Amino acid sequence: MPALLDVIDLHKSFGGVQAVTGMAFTVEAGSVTGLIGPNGAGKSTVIETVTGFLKPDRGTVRFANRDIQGLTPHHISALGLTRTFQLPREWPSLTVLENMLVAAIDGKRDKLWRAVFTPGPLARAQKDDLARAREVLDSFGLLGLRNDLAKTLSGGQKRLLEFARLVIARPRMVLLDEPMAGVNPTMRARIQESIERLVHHGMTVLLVEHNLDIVEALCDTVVVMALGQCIATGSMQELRLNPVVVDAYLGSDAVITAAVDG
Amino acid sequence: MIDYFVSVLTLISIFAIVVLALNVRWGWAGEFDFFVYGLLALGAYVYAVITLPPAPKNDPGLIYMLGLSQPFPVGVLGAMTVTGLVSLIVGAVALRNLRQVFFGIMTFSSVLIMAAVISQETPIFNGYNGVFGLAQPFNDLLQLSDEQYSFFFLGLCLVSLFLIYLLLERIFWSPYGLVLRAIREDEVAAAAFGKSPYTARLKAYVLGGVIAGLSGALLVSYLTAFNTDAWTPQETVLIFACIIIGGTANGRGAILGSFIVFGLILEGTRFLPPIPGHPDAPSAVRAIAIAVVMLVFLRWRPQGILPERHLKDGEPGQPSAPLRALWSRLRVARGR
Amino acid sequence: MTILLHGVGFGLVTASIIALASVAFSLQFSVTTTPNFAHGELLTVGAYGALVAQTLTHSLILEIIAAMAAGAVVASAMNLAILQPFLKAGAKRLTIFLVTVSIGLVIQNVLLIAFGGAPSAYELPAFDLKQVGPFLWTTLDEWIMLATLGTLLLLHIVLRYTKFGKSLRAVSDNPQLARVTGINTPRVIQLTWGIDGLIAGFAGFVLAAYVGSITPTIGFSFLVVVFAASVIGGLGRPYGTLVGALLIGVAMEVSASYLPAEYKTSVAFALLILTLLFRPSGVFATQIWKFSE
Repeated sequence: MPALLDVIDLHKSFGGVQAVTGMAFTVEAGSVTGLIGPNGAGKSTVIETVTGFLKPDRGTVRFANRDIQGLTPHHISALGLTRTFQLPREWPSLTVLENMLVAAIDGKRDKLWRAVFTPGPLARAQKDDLARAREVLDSFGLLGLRNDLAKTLSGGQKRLLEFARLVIARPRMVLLDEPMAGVNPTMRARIQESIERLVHHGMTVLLVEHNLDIVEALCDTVVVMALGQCIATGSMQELRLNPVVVDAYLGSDAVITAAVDG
Repeated sequence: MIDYFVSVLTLISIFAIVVLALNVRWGWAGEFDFFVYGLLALGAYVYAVITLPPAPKNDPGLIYMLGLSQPFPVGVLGAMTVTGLVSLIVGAVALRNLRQVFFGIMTFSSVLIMAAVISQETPIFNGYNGVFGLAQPFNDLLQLSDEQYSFFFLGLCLVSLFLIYLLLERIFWSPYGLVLRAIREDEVAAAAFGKSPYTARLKAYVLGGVIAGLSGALLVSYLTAFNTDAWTPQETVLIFACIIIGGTANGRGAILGSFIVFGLILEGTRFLPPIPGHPDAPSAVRAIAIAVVMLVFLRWRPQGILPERHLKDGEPGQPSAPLRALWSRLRVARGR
Repeated sequence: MTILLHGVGFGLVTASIIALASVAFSLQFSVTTTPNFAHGELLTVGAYGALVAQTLTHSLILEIIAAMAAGAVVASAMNLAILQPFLKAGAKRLTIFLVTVSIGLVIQNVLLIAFGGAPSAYELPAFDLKQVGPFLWTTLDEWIMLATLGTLLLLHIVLRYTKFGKSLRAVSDNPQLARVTGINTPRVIQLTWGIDGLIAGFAGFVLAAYVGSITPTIGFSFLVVVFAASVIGGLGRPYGTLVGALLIGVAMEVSASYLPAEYKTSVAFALLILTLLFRPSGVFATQIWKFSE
């Protein structure tokens, strides 16, 4: 299968600290790929650089056969590569429904001149968006909250809203930055289901997660990162037995326990 | 008595236009902008030098550039074009990196520099003394008496205000408007969804500038004169007060706020008796009253009287809701 | 060359006044992160305080004390009566900024009612210019610079060597950590405002003495210059602000030798704009922070 995202020799440092030193990996179209590694490995920096929120010092990032390193985040997102954040970032003083509509609006429709001169077509398109938004919100159990301001939602609901926005925006690929972080255990199943739903809607997913059970359940391939570089790739079963990986994770219960069991 | 109300209403409607301009920049886009009143002044000056005849050759007390003797519509278009361009330049530079308080400080400094240059460089707009002797728009065609003309001009201002209001309502409910507000809420998340914060904000900044230019042209046509005394930082604070009190990001709120601030408070205390020995007291009391009301609203009702409106489910965007509401009310009335 | 040196000499005097006002501002900002749009009014209040003391007594010492006291009282009252309640109610930084704008408006207009809009004369004995090295200074100029140095030295000693100074630096570095280690942060903040007012009040007295008259807007017209010095030196870095004040002061006076005097403050504003655009964290920044909220 063709590589949708291809990261080659990526470097990024801050001041004197080398966060990413020659990171390289690929994500195949249609897959769910995990990105794991101990704290400080540089995973977040990889996400930030790949999606354009940070400029890499060196290296190439190719998305859908196009060089995207150095482009602005909104340009990269417009090309079909988007991301989530460790803390849910909704638009707080907009309603849940408006949050969905913003995600649904594409780059051609949000022009000022269109607003002034072509209100008719815009209104029609918005009607379609509203119908789709209601559908998606309903599937996430958020339909009842649609007229509430997003800031009134609970943490778990905001996380679900993030996924709902992704479903309506339908990017080609999404980088999920620790979607389980700070989520209470009862929500975990729903988040996992939401990620599965993204795949069902045709998105390629790169999942950065600490919860290795989730990674194992969802990911076809996993990339392991430590000290700024990729140290191994493979399925979770393979990686649990890989001494290099175990070494990097020294002290992590999940890997050692599994290694003992397996 | 009627004259008094006509003149108050005229001023309120002119200021309501510049308040709407700030609402675009601050209410919609979250740009804490102090430059807006400077653009009103610039619009006033540009309108003046387009509509006035050329400056007399030998009068050192009256020097200004251009002097094209053009009629009102050309003057207005010229003013709006210049303020739009200046907004483009200032916005393009300031919106790159600066936000909120620091954007405010930067725009504040820019106005002060502009004021200094205009006061000092006499050949542009006659320096500190400013421009005067403007003709009343359209009156060479209409030949109205003073009283009739004041009604005509009030009508002109109210129509302008209404048209700007309708235009802004349309933009507010459009995808651009919604995206702009999302950028205001969280520009990082907006960028992650393919929206460019910089271009959206810049468009809002220029739009606000064009509208401010219109209000400047109207103001100077009404006053028939303008100089740097007419624009102080205090005026800018009043415009912010209109939005804070009336309602942020709400067009009707902005207009309501203009009525409250410029109408009641500014003119209301005019009926206070002057205090001997303290000629500045009435205007100072007014300013204090506005500041206190602002503080009260900031503490207990920061969204203003009429808060921001949202798309409620079931209703499509409302580009011409006021007209439709008027139309349906008319139909009901005829049906009775 | 002489003109240039004279400009530098005048610049040092201007810089002293700017330094006093800006260091107070920066100190307060470093602890509270509140940009105080009413800071200029603290100067104005100080100036009028000195004026009132002058009409009642004719003691220079009492006038200075009155100026400092007036500034300290207004600053402390501002924090206690208005800013703290807003902060406790969860107000955001921009709201607080607007609150300080409103407070400034109130103070300015109260002074306008009390003293009138026309300039009130504040006269100290007149001094002649004399040649001091390459510079032209009056005795008053020299006193101003000495007073500034003295105040800044005193401030430095307090910050470095007293318990309060250490607490202040802890709060400005890391408010949460300071609270956790038992420092009474609200009290530190309250006292910092008091010091801000003391120094700003004194700066108001110095400004009035230098200019020779006082109007209700005298402090406000200084505000952007204070912002300029603080931003150039790095917001919240009192020592950097000192250098910023020197730069601004000298730039203003030197430019007056080549441009019309009315453009003096525009030069300060232009420097502020340039700094905000290219190096918003100040000339000394080791880390560039973005002013996004």
